[in-house]
Amino acid sequence: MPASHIRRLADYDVVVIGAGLSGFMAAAAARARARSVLVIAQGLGVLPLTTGCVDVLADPADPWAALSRLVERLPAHPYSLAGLAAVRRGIDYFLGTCESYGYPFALAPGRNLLLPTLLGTLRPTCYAPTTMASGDLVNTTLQTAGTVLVVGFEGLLDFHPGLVVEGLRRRLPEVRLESTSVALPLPAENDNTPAMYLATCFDKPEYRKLFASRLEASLRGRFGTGRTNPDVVLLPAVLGLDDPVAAARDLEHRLGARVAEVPLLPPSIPGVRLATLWRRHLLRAGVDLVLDARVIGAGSARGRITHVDAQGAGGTARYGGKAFVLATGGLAGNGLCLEGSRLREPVFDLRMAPDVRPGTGSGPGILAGPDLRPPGYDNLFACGRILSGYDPYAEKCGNGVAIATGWRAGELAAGEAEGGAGGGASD
Amino acid sequence: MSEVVIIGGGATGVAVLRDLALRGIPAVLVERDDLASGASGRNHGLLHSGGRYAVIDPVAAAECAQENAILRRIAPWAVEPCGGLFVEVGADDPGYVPEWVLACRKAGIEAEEISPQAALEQEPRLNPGVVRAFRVPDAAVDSFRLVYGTAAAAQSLGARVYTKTEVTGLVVEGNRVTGVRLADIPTGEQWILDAELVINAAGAWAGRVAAMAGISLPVVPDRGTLVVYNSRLANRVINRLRLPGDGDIVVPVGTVTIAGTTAVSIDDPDDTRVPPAEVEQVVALVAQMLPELKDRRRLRSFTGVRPLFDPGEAVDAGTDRAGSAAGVSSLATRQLSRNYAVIDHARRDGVAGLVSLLGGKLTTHRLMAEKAVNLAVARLGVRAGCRTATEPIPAPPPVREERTTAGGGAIVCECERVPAEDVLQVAQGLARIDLGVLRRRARVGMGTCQGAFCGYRTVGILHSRGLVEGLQAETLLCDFLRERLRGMGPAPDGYQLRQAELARAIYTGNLNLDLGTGKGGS
Repeated sequence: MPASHIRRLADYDVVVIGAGLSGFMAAAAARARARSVLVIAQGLGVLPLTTGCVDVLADPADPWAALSRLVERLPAHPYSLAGLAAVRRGIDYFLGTCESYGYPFALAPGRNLLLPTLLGTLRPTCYAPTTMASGDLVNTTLQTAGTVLVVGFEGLLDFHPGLVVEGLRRRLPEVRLESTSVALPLPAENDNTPAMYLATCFDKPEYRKLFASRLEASLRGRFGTGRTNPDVVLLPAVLGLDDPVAAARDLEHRLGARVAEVPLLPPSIPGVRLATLWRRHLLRAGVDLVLDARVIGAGSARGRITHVDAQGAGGTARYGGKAFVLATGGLAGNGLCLEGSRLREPVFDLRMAPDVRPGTGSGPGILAGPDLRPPGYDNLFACGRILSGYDPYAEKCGNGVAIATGWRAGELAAGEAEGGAGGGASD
Repeated sequence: MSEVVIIGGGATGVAVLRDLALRGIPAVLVERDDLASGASGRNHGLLHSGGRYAVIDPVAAAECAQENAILRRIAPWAVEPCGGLFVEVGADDPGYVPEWVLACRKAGIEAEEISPQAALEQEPRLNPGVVRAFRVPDAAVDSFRLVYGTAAAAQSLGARVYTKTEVTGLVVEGNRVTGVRLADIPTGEQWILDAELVINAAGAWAGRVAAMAGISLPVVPDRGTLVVYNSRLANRVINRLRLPGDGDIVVPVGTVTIAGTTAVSIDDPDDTRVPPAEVEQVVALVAQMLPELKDRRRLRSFTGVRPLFDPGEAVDAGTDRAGSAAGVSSLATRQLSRNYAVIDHARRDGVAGLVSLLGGKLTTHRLMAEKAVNLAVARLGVRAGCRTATEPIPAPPPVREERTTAGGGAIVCECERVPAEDVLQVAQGLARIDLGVLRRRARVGMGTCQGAFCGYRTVGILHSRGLVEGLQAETLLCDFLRERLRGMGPAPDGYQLRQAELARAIYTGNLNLDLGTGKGGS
């Protein structure tokens, strides 16, 4: 359709493209500064590919101390571009908001939590939902006394409790570990039991009751004299979508043990919860959301983006903005695409960064300056996986970088929309 | 009487084993990796009609036509009778077509011309500029299952198979080979197997085996690069109607499409690196026949190494029957024979007890084995006729029972619809669990996710049934994922980049495994 026929629907202070974690944070930061904010997104982000924890850095000692060192050492790392103070502000806002929706996170002071995975490996993370945090077996009294019970569900191929136990045993030889599987009523027409289905089941008290009674039946006599219960029960992370904290508490009460979720293969339920929570939060905060719409073009004048054109089910519409945030993700999120053998950022055709850390597994990304501005436009800010210079998987910083850079980009965009310099918050 | 020892567990080796077994001759096969891990498992999966060779190699063409029909009869479970098309597209030499039609008729290949419109109706993704099209009886073949089934048939008759068993030397007494020196690869244990006769069916590695008896064999390892697409993009095999060259065959096999190939002579047959330029070349060429192949989702790319040979050197007093392109000695490998030779080293080199098979291709592997065993029985002084062309081969596991869709059992791999039952059926028959074997036999990790989801599920199921222990499960999984990631690396398309990113997100990110993927590492 010729550009002149595209209807200009609305104008905003800040337009965020992308509805993953970094886009959510950017929108929240701009909205917190009383700007009018629009989020346009083609998909729903890659949060369900993550564990739903907030990784800051893999460092087993103190992730925040490691972060300070990293910012000194690697000026092109997205954390450095956001700045240490903004990282703290963003993460504080993230944690506070999650808590206010009844989904609090926990941490281990001065170190990373080490949480069990579905393979029985240990994974460092800085903040975990409380439904997972009891899985941190390192710093508990379990090392001297107590039992961890890993429970699977018969028919759930994505979680094998025996494998988890053996993996954990090699890594935590002093912890007493047991495993069992519970048969639950499952949808007969399904070949595999989807985690999503189980999560909706665990939202219901009667299903939790049934689970607890079947688990107890399968354990009867298992824990011998004087003890009838394990201390910690590790479960697949399917304890509900509506109120997982209440579901976990209910199970803890029924089982007389602490309960901890272990994230499954994607889509992970904890990731889905976060995506739902943040969508709800933005709507409540007065952010407009246009989902299932792809930005197919943009207009600019004198080095500033003036509008974007988004194609959705109802046709193509134009949205004007004073500042823009690009939060479209990396390869997995479709923020980068391949044309021939060339990687490209398809919305603004931004310049790709040279590999600044060859050999480290840092993925491809766009070039961005110290204020997260890609060269070429004064009122555009980039955040999240589209940035270069880091390896979210080996460094364990994916969601941390998304929160930090998203928050900072939103602050800067809000400042830009106001006509002022910087983001209002000084570093 | 001691046994015949066959070196090499490709299609030819197992066919020799079965042929010997059917003739009542005790035989053992040794393979340094897994069955079908060389060229027999690294090819298009094409059962040639013979049309490809009609003009350049009429003998090979006629043999393909015969063997194609035989394999459909004896191993129908391995063959997908999808048929094939030869298509002339613009820029092809129209003068080749009448010559080809005549050559097909002479070789006994049914080639029926259909109109370009009919071809486009049957194959909507064909280049609309198709000029002429001919239907031929090509078929797709699951070469993994064919090899496993053939080996199992021989084993049921008493023959033995040792995989992960490397030949470290030949025992030579005077001017006679009397045994093979072996090493069990996992344990390093060394042993010797006495042999009445050794049959060297090591494919691209045959030259190395012969060298152990001090014999020089003119084997030219020849690399072909192939590209796998994630769905069936044609209904039948699509061949380019011109002189055989690069990137001129597309085969729909199982749930995927395999396009190829190239022909580059290499020094080391163990070199399975995929040159990105060859991937791009294959994609560009096959897209001339099926333009969509330029942009369709790719899964991975891989290479196979053909055991070509230079008939100019091989043809001499010791050769039972050499390739019909004899005399061509140019090193341009497209001109080397795709046919085969059975070499009696007693006559050629004065070394008794050793027979080598040179060249060959999947479609005619049974015939090549028959010729080798004919020579072997003559040498052994046994009278027994070949029965491999008529005796059916039972299907190997996993043999799927008729299943109802409801409650059909858990699915390990949604991409390829692999039931847990199939994985267990194959795994329970293995002396040593190897995810590569499970992949080749049960197709775990072959599909779109390239192991990202089914990798964990597979080791989980194996572990829950006590078939592997925990540390082994982790090691198997890491090795498997590394291998799968490797195949997504060369000249990737956008989907492969995304798929590799997803695999890293899950396994390096969420499971904290060190896959050390090329660029990776922590």
